[in-house]
Amino acid sequence: MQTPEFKGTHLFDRLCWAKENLEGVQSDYRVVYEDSVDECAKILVPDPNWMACALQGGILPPVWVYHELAKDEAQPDFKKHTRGYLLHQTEPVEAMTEEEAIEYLIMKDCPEQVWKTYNKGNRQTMVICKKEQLPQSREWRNSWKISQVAA
Amino acid sequence: MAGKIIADTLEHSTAGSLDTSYVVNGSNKVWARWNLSGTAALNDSFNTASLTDLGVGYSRITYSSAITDANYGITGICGEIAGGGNRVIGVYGNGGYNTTSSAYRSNNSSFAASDETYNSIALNGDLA
Repeated sequence: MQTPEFKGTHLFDRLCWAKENLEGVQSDYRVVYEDSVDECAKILVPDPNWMACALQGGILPPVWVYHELAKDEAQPDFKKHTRGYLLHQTEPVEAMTEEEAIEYLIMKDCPEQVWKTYNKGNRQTMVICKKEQLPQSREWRNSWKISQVAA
Repeated sequence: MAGKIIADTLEHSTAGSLDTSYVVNGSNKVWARWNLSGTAALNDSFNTASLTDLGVGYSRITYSSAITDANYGITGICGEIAGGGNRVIGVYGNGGYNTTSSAYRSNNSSFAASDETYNSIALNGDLA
């Protein structure tokens, strides 16, 4: 199905179109990351409807838009977004492969310090894996850490 | 978009009229249902980009279309698909609560964090 010409269309309207017209895609990919030495590993799971939008193209804004909004929100005098138009008026990104979509999602939803430095320290703090590679039982879930052998 | 109707008011023949801003402002802007048992996964959603499994009972939902500020309202329930009721889900502020995400703690009947099979939230607020 061809994505309509969504230039300048509110992102929410684009998502409404996607919900109505695209089948969700359950990705097998998971992103495991550690952002605190005192906490267990966290596992990022892509949303099926979001993944469908990413694979379709022409719906999602570029990831830098989210970074700009995050910068605004980090200001001490932040009250509300005044640059929401970036989500709606910036030209949507083209269709991605599933792997590219995961990279986009990492930059959108993982802490910046993780994806910028995950392989810089004495242990790797982020890995992309298939869900079958995760423990199949949640026993000791609060103690899970990334295996440095696997990483 | 094709089929666009621009209207400020909807009027019923007998029941009165409704300002369309009620519809725009009153609709859910995000909803999600997810499962924390086994390999955590989202069952279905709208305006959700990802789920993060933060540990036993803890999860974070991120949005695609941001909310204008963090003063939005959320309703949620959790429980077990088969069996146990008497569960409760609450906002987990330390897990990230802002205009593009919110985090939750699901509790069992003893109010201990618990990996429930049914977790769902719906969010009302203004879009950025």
